[in-house]
Amino acid sequence: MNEPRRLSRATVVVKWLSGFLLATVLGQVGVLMWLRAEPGIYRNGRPFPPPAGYTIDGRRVHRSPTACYLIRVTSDSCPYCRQDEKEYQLLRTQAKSAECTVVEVAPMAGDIVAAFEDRIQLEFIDAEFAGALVPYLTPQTLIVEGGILRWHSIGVLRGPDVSSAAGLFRGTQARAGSSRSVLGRY
Amino acid sequence: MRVQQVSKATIALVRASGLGIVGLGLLVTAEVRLASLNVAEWQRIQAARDRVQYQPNWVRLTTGGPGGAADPSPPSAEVVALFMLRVSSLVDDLRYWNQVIESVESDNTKSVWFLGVCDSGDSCTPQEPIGFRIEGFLEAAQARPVAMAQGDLLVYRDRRFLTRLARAVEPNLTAQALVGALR
Repeated sequence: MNEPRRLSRATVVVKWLSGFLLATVLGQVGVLMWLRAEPGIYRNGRPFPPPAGYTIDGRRVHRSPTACYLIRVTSDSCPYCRQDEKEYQLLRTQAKSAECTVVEVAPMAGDIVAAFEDRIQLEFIDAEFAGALVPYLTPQTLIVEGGILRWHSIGVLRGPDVSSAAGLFRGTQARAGSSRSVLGRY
Repeated sequence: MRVQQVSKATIALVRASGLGIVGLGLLVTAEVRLASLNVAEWQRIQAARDRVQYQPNWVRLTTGGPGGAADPSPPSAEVVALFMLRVSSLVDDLRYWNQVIESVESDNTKSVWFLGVCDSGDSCTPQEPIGFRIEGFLEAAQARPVAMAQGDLLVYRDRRFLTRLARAVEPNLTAQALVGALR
């Protein structure tokens, strides 16, 4: 005779349990979305001082606040930096067509030895740029335009990274008339 | 007989709850999966914060300039102290650090070599004689901690990081803190 009463009490418990589980699942989804929106090292859309410093061959590079830059933190001795050479080459081509200057930054002096004519290779930087750039990870790739960080990728570049950057460069290309490359200014 | 009753009761319970066994199982699985994703995301954020706040425990003073790469510090410098100069408050900063250096030199027997790092490259040109050297360009790995120190004093002994001293309002307090740290 007690069975239906016990059953209904247990039913309430199970209902509470499922309600609790559902609520915590929804809560966890919310927490996950919030955590994913948290930036890692950089936050796109934030001010980012353009690069300035001295190149590996001792040339001075001046800051150009309005210019567009493709910045790559890299080192000759970093094996990961060679893994995405194809993707990086593609980005450089897109950057050039959008009149963006390609700037490579060595974390430490002597990290970049191989010289290339088509890019600026910085060995020394000023504190303003250093305050924004975290140089302890290689490779990393950033797009800075008009003093704002537009896009970044930490680690080896993948196909989707190049695609997302390409869309940005198309927009930059449209604005290229008003911004000038700093190549040749140092 | 007892087992049968329990099984029946369980089935009835699950039906009554509106969720099938599969539904409950899915909820539990989702719970576990989401928890692991959240932990991974939290770890990613912590790792990123660690990277941003990273403070190398060494100093390597290779500077860039018109004369090429060079280490401006004298080989005899046992203690190296780095601080940032802001162009926007250059006159005050120069006066402040000059006073710190004067106090340290009158108080301390150890050889401390001071280097001011300009926050904007070669824009920090002093109008009067100063008691320390100014550099505008460092290696990225060394420029970063100076920039992150926000005007505080970074002290290295035998090229290893010793301490970070907050910039006190009064220069002699900063000097005292440095002398104390070196004892």
